[in-house]
Amino acid sequence: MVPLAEAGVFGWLLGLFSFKLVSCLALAGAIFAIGAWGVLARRNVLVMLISVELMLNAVMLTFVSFSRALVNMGPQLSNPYAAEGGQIFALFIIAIAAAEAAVGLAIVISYFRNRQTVDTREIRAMKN
Amino acid sequence: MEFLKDILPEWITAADKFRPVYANGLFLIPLLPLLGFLTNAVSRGKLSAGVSGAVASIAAFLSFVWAYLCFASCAGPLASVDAMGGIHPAMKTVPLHAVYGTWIEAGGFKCSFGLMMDQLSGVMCLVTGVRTLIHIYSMGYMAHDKSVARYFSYLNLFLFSMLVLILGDNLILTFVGWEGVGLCSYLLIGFWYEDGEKAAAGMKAFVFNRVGDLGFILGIFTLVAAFGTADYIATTGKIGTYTKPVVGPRKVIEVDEAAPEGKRERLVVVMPDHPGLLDYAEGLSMVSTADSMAKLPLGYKADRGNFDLSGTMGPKVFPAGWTFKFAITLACLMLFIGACGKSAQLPLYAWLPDAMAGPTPVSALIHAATMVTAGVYMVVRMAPFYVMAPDALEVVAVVGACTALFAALIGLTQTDIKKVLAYSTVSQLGYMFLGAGVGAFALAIFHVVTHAFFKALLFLCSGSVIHAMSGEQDMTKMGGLRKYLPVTYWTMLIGSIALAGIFPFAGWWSKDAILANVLAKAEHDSMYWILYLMGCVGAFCTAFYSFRLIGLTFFGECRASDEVKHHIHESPPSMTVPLMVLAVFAVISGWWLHADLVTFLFIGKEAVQNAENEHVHHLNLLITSAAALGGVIAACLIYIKGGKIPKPAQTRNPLVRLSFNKFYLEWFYDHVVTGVFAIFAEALHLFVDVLIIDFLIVNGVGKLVRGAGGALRRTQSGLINVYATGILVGALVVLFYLLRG
Amino acid sequence: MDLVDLVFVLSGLLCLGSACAIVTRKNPVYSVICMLPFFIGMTILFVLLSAPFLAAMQMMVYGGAILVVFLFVIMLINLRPEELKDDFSLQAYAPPAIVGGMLGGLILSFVRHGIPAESALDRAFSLPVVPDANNPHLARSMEMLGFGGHAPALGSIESISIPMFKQYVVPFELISLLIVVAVLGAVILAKKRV
Repeated sequence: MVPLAEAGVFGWLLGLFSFKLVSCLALAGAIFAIGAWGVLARRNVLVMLISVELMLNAVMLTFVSFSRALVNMGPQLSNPYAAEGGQIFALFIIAIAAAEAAVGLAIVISYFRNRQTVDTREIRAMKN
Repeated sequence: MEFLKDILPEWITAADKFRPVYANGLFLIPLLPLLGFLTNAVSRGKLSAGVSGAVASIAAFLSFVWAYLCFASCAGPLASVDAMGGIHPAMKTVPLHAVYGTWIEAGGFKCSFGLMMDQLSGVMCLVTGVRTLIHIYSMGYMAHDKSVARYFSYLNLFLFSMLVLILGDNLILTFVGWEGVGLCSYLLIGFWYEDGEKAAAGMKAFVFNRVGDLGFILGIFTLVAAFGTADYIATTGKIGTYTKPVVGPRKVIEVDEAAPEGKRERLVVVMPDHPGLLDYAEGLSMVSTADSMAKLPLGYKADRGNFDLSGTMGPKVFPAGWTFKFAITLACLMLFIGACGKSAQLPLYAWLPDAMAGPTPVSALIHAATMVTAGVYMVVRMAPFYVMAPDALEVVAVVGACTALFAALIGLTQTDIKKVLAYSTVSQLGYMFLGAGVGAFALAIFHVVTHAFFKALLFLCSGSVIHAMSGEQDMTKMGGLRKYLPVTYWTMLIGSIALAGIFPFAGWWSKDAILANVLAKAEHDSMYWILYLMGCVGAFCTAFYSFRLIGLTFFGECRASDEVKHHIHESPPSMTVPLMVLAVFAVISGWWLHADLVTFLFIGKEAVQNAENEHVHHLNLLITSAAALGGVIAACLIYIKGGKIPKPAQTRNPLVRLSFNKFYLEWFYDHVVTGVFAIFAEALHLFVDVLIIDFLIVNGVGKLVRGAGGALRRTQSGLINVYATGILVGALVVLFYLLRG
Repeated sequence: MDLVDLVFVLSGLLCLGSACAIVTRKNPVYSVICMLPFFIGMTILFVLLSAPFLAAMQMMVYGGAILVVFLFVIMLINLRPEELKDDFSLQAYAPPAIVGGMLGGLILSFVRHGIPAESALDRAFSLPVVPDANNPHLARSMEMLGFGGHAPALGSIESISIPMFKQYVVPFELISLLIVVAVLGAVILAKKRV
């Protein structure tokens, strides 16, 4: 893939829209950015938690993309399980995401039961 | 080794195949008292007095038995090499040595956790065998105390520390035991801590020991700085590379065939020999001939492979500007300061008499027989260093002689029965150091052994007397106890004769031999005439005060109050049996061990054994016997026949007052030394504590934090999104920093 | 642009679109509903990236469990839609600005430099992952894994399970511990006050 100035818009998009490592990484970066936006901008704790799941999914996508690439790099790697390692880490991320969601939602429920709100503008006991 | 053949079973001495078992099992010797300590410490208050005493005594006894077996095995190969003939006895023994792992490893410095039993530590271990008797005695003496378990746990902890001190194969492990016995000494002196005076006595002992320990640890640092190791075997091996049996300093080119090309020739600097110590230096010099490496005294093995002089005077490990002589003299002097503290030598003696506040068996075990001899042990253990540092040895001899005389003079006028014995202990320790100072290291240990027997006996006897007198310790209130306490009387008489140094009791053999060595030395160096004179006057005083003690306690009319008199009774068998056993040893140990022990230890062939010194021996025999007998007779005339009751507190005689008030040395400590320190401490308090720590650091930091917190508080919105934004921005900054290249 | 590229682009766009929807919906119920197409898109991507087992796990755990739990909690606490106050504040506008900057930086980098020249990793990415005697890289890699004669494809249960229980067994056990702790914590937090 070449710079936009050389390839023209169509060529550039074609390069980006083909199934390549960089495309996958770009997609993951975009999803991560959207998730971060959600976490930062939204006031609803629940939606913030959902956005965190988006970010975690982006990271999983990165791991799996590199796993796909590394499986064919076998002899050059010191770790024979490098490729599988990426997928196993993605699995671990799923597990951690589940744990995080369980605890996070429990906190949300507990807080809501006491204050009848999950809006971060009203959850600011630490102000000053 | 005739005396060993008497006491060792055949199957032990013959069986070399058990040696690894004994060597690897050395750890059991200290471990058993430790287990006893743990048992008593954990189950405190739950065990009855009898059970905790039994646990402690059995632990001490088993440890002694195992030490005895190990010692036998260590001396074992004697039998098999006897046939070779002509080899010095000490060279036939092979020390037991077990390394249980690396303890400290930092840079080039390495310290292993190992135990070693050679002749010296073996003999010291057996001396500690007095412990079993004292444990049994304690069961009777402490039977009515309310915290017996605490007492016995301390006692076992002390044994553990003492054995670590003795058996450790490097100075650092010895230092651990050294500190441990100091701690136990403190705990046991202040055992009855409700009594403020006794607690203060414990504190005093602790503080005095701390001064000495500082010297000790500086000595260790010096050795490590100079030689890179604190291991006994390795350091001694390194000294060996310096030594040749020649007189006068000179440099020798030594050719080592085994070394790699280009490093075969090395310059060996030979230190001037110390007159009278030639024999020992000769023993050491065998290190430099490869074929006799195994023949080192004290079981030290040559270890020259890892020490390359590279043709320069100071090996690379020496700090800049140090010479070998400077380093070794400094180290020896520092170590001797440690020995002064632990063994109550001038000027650090003052804690030992006060230490008598503890229970009497403790005085016997710790403050007479074992712990206070640790300093002597350490000096003798470092003998290879001391012979290389004649200046340091002179200091040892002078301090020893001064202490011997000084403490004996104080002992003349004391009225507290235990105080007399305490000053006597200080004085006898002075004799040991005097012996070590003239190079008679083996005789110093010999005196440790005999002194352990008769001084433990004397202390236990005094404990029996105090027990009978319902806790009264003042001799002016005793008298005529002979008919009430026959066993105590006879055993104490034996102990006193031994202490006074009357032939053929134990004390005579060792003290006479030490003085003979001083006299032999005086032929080379006139300074030693003064030391010899001090020793003889001290011997006279020793004989005098020991019979003064007997006279005041057991003869004349009983001066106790009627109530006390009514309760006087002979002690139970658990107390009298140890007395009798110790009395037997006080009689025979000198005669039994005198010839063999010294050659066995082989820390210098003693001057007294040389044929050319025969006249020295005879002259000394005359002088010391006259001094001792004179003292005994004078004391008998004054106190037994004359029935004089001393009242030193009221006397106007300035000499008596001087002696009774300990030459005002303690007054000097209390007022001058303490005063200087108080001013120093006050200045430190004002400058460091009040200004720097309190004002600047504690309050200053508090105010700074409070002010900064107040200012930064306003930036906190409490919105979680803002905090998350902060995290993300930080992460991005780090990311860009990493991707920057 | 062959079929794989097409599927990739479609599923990627599906992910991006539904992610934007998740973040922008005012009503959290819609946000949660939008998670479903997002997870489906992710699953397709995983299959494309030869991780079928992971794809199945993704569908089961995310689509089946986490999503439902979110939905359940939203129903439970019965939220009103969020009302953004239209006050200008750093807190309201800084996050989108930062995220926009991130995305913009990404795109700008691609526009300026293009994608970096094809590396060994890129070439390896495009090779097939099915065991094949004619693919020396893959065959050796499988041999190294200790699969012997028959080598499973990357992403199959077998190829994942062996390293998971060999090299990664400690993290695996730690994760299980973490889940137990999380479950206990969730129960204790959500429990009504005793």
